[in-house]
Amino acid sequence: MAKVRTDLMQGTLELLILKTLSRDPMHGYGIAQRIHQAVDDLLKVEDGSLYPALYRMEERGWIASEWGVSENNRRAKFYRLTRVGRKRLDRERANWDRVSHAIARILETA
Amino acid sequence: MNVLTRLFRRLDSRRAHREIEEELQFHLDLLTEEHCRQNMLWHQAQVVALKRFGNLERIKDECVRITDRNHPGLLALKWFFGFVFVMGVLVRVFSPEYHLTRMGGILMAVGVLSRLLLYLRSMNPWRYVPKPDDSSPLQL
Repeated sequence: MAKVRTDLMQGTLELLILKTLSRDPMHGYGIAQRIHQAVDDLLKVEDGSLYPALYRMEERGWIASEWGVSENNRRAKFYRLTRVGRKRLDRERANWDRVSHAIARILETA
Repeated sequence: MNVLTRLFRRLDSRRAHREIEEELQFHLDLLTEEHCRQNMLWHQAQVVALKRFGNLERIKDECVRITDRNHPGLLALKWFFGFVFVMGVLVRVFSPEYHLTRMGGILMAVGVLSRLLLYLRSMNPWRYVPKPDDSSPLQL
C-alpha cells in the first residue's frame, strides 16, 4: 500500500531532534537517518531543514556541538543534548502528550 | 577543547562559515553514497541527494545568519551599547547640571541608534535569499 507522507507540524522537528539526541551524540546525517527510520518515511522531513533547527537549538543552549571523526573517518560535527536540552525535552514531550490527547478527545466526541 | 580555543574558534567567522559548508557537504556526500549503494550512478545519486536535502543555498544562508548573530564580537557590542544607553539614562536622570543632562541624552541616542544599526546589520535586508524552488548552484 502506498504511504501517505504528511508534512511535519511546526515545532515538532525540534522535539524529534531532542529525542534522537537523548540516546547518544550524533552528527546531522545520523540524526536525519534515525528520524527517517523512526517515522518510516510517513513524515516528510527534508534533511537540510535539520541544520537551521540544530543551529537555533544550539543558540538556545539545548544542544552543544563538537567536531570529531565519523565512522567513515571524516571530520564531522557531533551534537549532544545539554542539561537544559534534557529538561526541554521533558517539557516538550509533556506538552505534546497533552495536545495530542486533547485533539484525540475532540475527534472522538465531535 | 578548552574555553579559550572555543572562544577563538567562535571569533573567527570565516572559519565558522567554512565549517557550515563542510558540515553540509559531509551530509550530502553521505546521502550520495547511500544512493550509490542502491545501484544508482554517481551523478544520478547526487541529484537525488540534493533533492532530498532541500534548497542548499537557503539552508546555508540560514545557518550563516544564525551563526553570525551569535558572534562574540557582536554580542559584546550589543552589551556595550546597552551599557552606554543605561549610563545615558542615569546621567540624564541624576545629573544636576544642564550640560551633563544633554550629555546623558546624547549617550542614550548613541546607545539606541547603535543597537538599531546592529539589529539592521543582523537582519541584512540586502542579502540574497534564494526562492524555495531555486535549483542550487552549489557543488556536490
